[in-house]
Amino acid sequence: MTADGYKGRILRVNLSEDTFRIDPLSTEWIRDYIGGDGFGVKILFEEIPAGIDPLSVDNKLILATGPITGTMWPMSGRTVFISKAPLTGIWGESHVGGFLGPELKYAGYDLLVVEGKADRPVYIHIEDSSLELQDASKLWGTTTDQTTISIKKKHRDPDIQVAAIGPAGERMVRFASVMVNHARAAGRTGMGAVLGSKNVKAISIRGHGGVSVYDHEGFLELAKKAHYRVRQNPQAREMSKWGTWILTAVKQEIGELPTYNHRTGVFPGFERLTGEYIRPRYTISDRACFGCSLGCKKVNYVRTGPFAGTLEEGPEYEGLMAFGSSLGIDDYATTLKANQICNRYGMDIISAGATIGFAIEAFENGLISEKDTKGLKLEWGNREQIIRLLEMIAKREEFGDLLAEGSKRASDAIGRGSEKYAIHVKGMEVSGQDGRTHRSIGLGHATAARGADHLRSLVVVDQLGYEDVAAKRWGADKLPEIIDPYTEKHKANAVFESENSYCIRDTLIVCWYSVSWPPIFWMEDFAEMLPLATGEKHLGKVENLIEIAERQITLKRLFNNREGITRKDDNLPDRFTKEPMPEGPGKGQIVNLDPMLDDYYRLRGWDLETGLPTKETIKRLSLEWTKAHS
Amino acid sequence: MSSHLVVDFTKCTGCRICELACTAKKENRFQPSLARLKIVRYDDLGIDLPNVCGPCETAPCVDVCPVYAIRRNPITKMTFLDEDKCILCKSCVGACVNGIILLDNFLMRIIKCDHCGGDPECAKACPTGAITYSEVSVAPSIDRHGKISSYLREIQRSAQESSGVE
Repeated sequence: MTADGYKGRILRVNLSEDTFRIDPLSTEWIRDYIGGDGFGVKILFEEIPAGIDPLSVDNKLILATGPITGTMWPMSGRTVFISKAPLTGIWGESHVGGFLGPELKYAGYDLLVVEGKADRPVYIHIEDSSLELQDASKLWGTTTDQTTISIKKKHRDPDIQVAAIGPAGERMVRFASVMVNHARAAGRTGMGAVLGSKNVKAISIRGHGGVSVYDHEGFLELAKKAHYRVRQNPQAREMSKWGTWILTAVKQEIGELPTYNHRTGVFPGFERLTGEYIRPRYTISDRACFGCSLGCKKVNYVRTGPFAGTLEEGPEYEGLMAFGSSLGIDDYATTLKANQICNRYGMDIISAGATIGFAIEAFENGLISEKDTKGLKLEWGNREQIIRLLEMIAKREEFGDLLAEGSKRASDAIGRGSEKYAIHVKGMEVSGQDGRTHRSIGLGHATAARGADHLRSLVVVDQLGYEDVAAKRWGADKLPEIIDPYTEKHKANAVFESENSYCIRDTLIVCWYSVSWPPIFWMEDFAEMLPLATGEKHLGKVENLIEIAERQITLKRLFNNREGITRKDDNLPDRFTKEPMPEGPGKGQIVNLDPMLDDYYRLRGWDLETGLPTKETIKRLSLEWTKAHS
Repeated sequence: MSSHLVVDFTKCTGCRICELACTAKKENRFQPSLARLKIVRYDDLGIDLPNVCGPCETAPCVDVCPVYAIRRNPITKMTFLDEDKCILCKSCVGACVNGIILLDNFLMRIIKCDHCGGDPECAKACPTGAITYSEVSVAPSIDRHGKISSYLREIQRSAQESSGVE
């Protein structure tokens, strides 16, 4: 008997053999990994041999949910795609909001594991116990929104939830995304390319069942209180009005708005990318993901100008950064159009923007010429050119074919010293933060399992100076250094503790915004809620949750180690460690990574020389079984 | 009892917390497919429409029921199902203009909103105030078609403009 909250079933589809299989969900997994990312890393470590090509038939794609997915806990409608990443060749995961995860639970499954490769274009259709591979030859080549609508029409059910890839995924663009509900993207690390390599155009799910929890009354009461906390939280209220656009002005003020491919942290035209500018001019509707009382999604419409008629959700702050400040564009309509193209073709906006930024800077410095770009004169702030380049990448046309490989592979192919303009860690492009003006994210970018990641260990408390939160969580003795963004001291403690909590967040799975700015919920809230949801008493202790988080993070590390990742890969681009910030409040700052890395490895129990988890750590976290798979 | 459900169509974000709250109370689990109300979401247009068992102008479910199992409160115009009289003919399921009367074919019963006996859970759970429970003096729906029609007008206008330019 599986614990409450779970459905207790893992659905496996083998595309090569056109078969479905249902496995039971092991109780031990729940005890040791809880759900979401945890189940994903366990399966991937056990079932994927080291060194395989992520785009080969041997790779697997996992769609995972957690114990509270589909319940009324605030912001618990998220789901995660997990696979070996085409972009980086290491651990890959991408979380997405929308309505897909709950629907999988209502259909009766906790996880979907996609294996093998179909010999023709298909989509996986799951309707409760009815499981089919449907022909997708007519859908092949269509955009994600067309695919979504076509599948809903074909089955005559508007409530089917569809996760679709676009032409970029079909062509295995290294940073292709999987799109859910038209505009919610599982963007990073290239999960869309994995589906594309397997000839899977979409996964469509419809469930009529329900999710039960262990103590319904108790859980419901707590969930209602939790919703009330979200509704009363001042930061959450701001978020529901402005979405993540609120960040643009904050980032500009602290000199951390990535501009011209992370060259600097201040952007003169930032005002046209702020919420105050955008909302009254473009926003027509506020929307939310499943079970979310915050509602940060904005639907926007361009009334005039060259992109008039563009109707699209988003972009988030990261999109404003990737297509706005980072490419020198001070025009919101362009970022919306670029976002729409990425959504429809199915590409990650952060990697797409950063790869274009890399190309422009390399061109500017004469490392690539018009001969390479087939006549395109790349330049900052050219709106039409960005849109054209995005289409070229998605279709792998001409110069776009090279950029579709991501900035690391593109710079390796070009050579001539262009590597210094490829701003990535372990192959994944750096998100909209900068370690120079915020040291803890420097460490986070360097150590996160999937590459330069802002979602696994971004400490917000130090950046925004929440002294009381910092004192409570990390001890008053570490003040004031721990909230000083310009010093390396104690930053590993902040990253370590935040990463553990975010890890539990990603196993449940709940949204990032419920644990940030400053957190509405933290470990003790999850510890209070989990026993009510699952009936598993040991999940009610914070120290047990921390151990589960440490186990999972170390297991992801072991997965990466198996692919050759060691301490030398936990680095940052020279831009952050050697080029001082040229202007703004953080002028002159650089990141000194090594002392932070030492502290971080000590806290994690990883070897200081190699970055590999020590024998004692592996034993303490009961991960000895991994030896059999290495 | 002189209150009714009021829907403000401009405020819904499509989060479906109301569906969860509804089934949490009525079914003791979370199962939106059995919710007594439904959020219709148009992801391509960015529009969300709450369909509740509100006070219909006319009540097809009442009119169609062959055994008079559904009755209507003359003041609030809210409708109620008497399960003891129901013969499961499903006529109301087809007649409901909001599509929120359902047949539960596991337990063989008609599922219909009873407004939680005057304390509707959906209105309490709605985070934006799109669904409320108010005195009958308040109009039952706010801006039902306004948002969509202004939307479509605007899209048509810019489509014409851009085709005119080309």
